Amino acid sequence: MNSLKWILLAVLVFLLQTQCTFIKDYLNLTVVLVYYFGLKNHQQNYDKDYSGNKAGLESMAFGVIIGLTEDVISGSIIGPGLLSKGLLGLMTPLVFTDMVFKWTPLWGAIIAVIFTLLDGTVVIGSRMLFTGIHITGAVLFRIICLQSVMSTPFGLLLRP
Amino acid sequence: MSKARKRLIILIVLVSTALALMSYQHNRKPFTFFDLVVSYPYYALNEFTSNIDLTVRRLRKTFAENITLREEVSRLRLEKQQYREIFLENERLKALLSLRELEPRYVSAARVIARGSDKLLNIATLDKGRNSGLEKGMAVLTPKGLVGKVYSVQDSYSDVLLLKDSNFSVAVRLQDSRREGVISGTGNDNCLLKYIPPEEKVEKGEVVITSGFDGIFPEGLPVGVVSNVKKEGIEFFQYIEVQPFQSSEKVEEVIVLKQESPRS
Repeated sequence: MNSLKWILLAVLVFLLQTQCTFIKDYLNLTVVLVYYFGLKNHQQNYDKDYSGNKAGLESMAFGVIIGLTEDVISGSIIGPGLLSKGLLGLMTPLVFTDMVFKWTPLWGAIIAVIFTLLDGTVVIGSRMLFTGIHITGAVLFRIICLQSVMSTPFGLLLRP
Repeated sequence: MSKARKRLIILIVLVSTALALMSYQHNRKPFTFFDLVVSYPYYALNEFTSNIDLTVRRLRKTFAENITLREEVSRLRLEKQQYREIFLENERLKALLSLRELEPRYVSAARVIARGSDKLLNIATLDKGRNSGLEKGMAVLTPKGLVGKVYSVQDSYSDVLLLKDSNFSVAVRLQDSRREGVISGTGNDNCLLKYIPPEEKVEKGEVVITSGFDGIFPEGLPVGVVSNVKKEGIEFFQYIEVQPFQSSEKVEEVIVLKQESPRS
């Protein structure tokens, strides 16, 4: 049931991300999805008192699947999305280890912004490196920054 | 193995796998294997949503177009109405102009600007007065027929006593029989033709014209048509109702004529 919920959520996110012009240009919902999955998964594993690596591995697997799907849909090379989302999945449980960083809305917002920046940098950087496309720095900076800012509300609202 | 070491291994595996995949595809065609699994369903879904999007856009465009067209239709209807009004006015003024050219006693053309509200006195107000040469007693008519006579004159407007008023009288003659009489208003739409003896044969539909003997109205102006004739139960004269050609309620533009000069 839980898996079905995440599959449906992922389908919805891809639908919105690819069909709505506004979301496509200003929001990175796949990052938010992976972040949210990591957040929830970490909390569930923490509640069940599982060891730390299980949450990281599951989140990474989810991120890899989302990234891979994104790569396939994009029509470009396979890998940038997979790498960035996998990394985000792996990192999400790490940034909310309760010993150091407990989740708060502000910390959630900061992480959402950082993750969006990281994802944008990894995806665009990898594509520039491996496909030879050229994007001017200003445009790149504008897109990534805008998407990062737009991720802030999700960081504030999405709770573990 | 410690947690940190495990995580490091996972990270290295992830990064190296991704880099290996991207390096493999560098300068080669991207993998087509995933197309079957993800792309085709995605493109099908994409087409479906695009069609929905297209339909919604078309609907919105149609709605917007519909509103614009409705506004346009309203505007055009109003414009058409205005043009029709102008056309009708033009027709009336043309007829008035032709009458003016035919009539040597022409004084002025005027527009009816008000109608009297007094039940006992049927008058209409014209937008011309003494300044335009109008005087009391002048004949007022339209190309259709007689309207009345000037009743009172001010500098810039004047009142017309209408044909249907009971105080109004005009010397007339029946067009076919040439019999002369006097028409008086009744206060209603119809007028009465007086002083026609019973032996005179008068039929419904006979036209009544001015005779010119009253010295006010020129001879031959159409006044109305006989609408009812009664010979039974009368004493000296027939009871003849005349329907005026020019309804007092529909007068808009008129011309005013000078009084007939006394016949020599």
